[in-house]
Amino acid sequence: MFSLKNFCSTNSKLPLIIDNYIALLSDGIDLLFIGKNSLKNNIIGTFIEADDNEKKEYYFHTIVHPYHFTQFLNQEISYREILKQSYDTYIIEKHFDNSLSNIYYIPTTKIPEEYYPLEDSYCPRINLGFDESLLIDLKPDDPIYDNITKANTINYLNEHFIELSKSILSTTANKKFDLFLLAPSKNSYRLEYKLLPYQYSLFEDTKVINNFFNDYFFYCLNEGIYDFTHNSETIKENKNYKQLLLQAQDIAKKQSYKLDNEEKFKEEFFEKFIGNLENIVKISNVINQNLPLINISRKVNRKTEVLLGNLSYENKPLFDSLLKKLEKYYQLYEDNEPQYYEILIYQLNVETRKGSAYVKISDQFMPKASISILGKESLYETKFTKSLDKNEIIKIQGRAKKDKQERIKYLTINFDDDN
Amino acid sequence: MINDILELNDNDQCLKEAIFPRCSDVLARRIDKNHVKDQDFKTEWEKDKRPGVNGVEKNECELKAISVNLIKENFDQVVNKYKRMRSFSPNHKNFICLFQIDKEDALIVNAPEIEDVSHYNLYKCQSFDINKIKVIDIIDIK
Repeated sequence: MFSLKNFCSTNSKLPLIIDNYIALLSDGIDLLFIGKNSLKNNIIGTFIEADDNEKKEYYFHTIVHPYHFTQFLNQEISYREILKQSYDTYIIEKHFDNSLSNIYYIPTTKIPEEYYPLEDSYCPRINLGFDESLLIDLKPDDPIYDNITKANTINYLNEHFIELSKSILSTTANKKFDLFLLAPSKNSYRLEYKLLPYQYSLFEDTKVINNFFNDYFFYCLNEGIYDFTHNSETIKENKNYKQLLLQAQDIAKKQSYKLDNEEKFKEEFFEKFIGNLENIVKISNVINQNLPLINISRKVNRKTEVLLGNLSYENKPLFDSLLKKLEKYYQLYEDNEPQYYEILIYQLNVETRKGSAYVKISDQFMPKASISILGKESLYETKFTKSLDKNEIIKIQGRAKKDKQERIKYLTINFDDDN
Repeated sequence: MINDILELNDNDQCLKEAIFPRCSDVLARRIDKNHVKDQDFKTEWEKDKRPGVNGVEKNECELKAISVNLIKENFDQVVNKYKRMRSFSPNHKNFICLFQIDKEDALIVNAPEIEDVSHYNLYKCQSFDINKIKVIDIIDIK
């Protein structure tokens, strides 16, 4: 290993991968891998070499711009080109047991040439996973869609869509796949995701998982919501629901998940299905007259787009009915009278007056709840938008709907602008 | 016989569909120098990596295995794969060792990957010894 004594050691945790770790090339040691740091920046990592005497292993970790990251995954640029274009990178020094030893900051111009990745350091060609992606397209009515509202809406959609997707994946007892958000395209009303496995050897399973994932969306958006709202007692007998359950079981078995208790698997699948319908309602909270439509599609072979379903303003009454059905299912009970609560709003659509907030139960415990603000007064420059913009806890008066465990699921807030 | 596998029980999931390599089977593995060392056949488990500890994502079967390729008529394909790996880490393992091994000394399990069906996981037996490996050739891929 080349000498590191001329390079600065750093305590920064930014070069460390803390989430979405995927090994793309491995021969026992992971030679090429990707992941995200604590700020959700993309990192590309490669193995440099091992020092058998010191019992240490060395890796490059490069924080990569989302656009270059997507280009790399699409095999449009090599890792060598990424390093040449980057100003700097980090060397992660680990002990043989993978515990961290040190982190060095290194300008890329100082990497000895013999350690530079070669010209053909392109991302491995993965036929199945990389050719397919999931698309969320916002279709605003007004072409001049307020930038702040658009940014808030996109962030909210991304957060809830990832939560929904992880929940769908978890119904297959599968912990080895994750969703990656690709760099925004020039049409920035689009969110594009790829489903990727944690290990290179699992890429063959990606097609099956992708199919299940897409079928799940297709069913929920086209039938599931309606079926549950109108026939919740018989939904388990629905042919398409049963097909989804079978797919989930097959994937679980293939991942060597022990299906000893099939009844328990079916119960958990159903419970998560209900939870996922609820997630879809939360996603639909952004729909209003200015944003009347969100399309959810699948892109195959990197170009053909197939519509799976949509969330539209016309379906608002259906979502309201679904919400009432879910409340009945969860046996929610409401405060008899408005109570005072302290909340921190992290999402709010000022047109629909719906959003999400953390509700302060104690200093350590602030669970999430869906909120709805009554009244017709404008919400601009009120304490509600202040809470959202400045991350401030505010005191409000409202009625909470709680489940049997007293967890607050919904909060209907009386409008007031007192501090 | 299976009781002799290093750190694995005979019922272990890792050994599902394991077979003994034939004496005539030629296996390939990337190594660091133009001669074989102990370190070239050390597993990640022997380096004290454990699943879930210090961010290790691999499971026990993966940590206890050594990656090898079974060479039949796929020699060029395997060399290309190793060269592609090398393109990311040009200073790491620039040689390919072609070797044979006694069937008492290891078990191999087919673990095909995308575009690499000849990939196997090798599990060492207690009797495994670097000096007993029959090296057929060492190829420089720099």
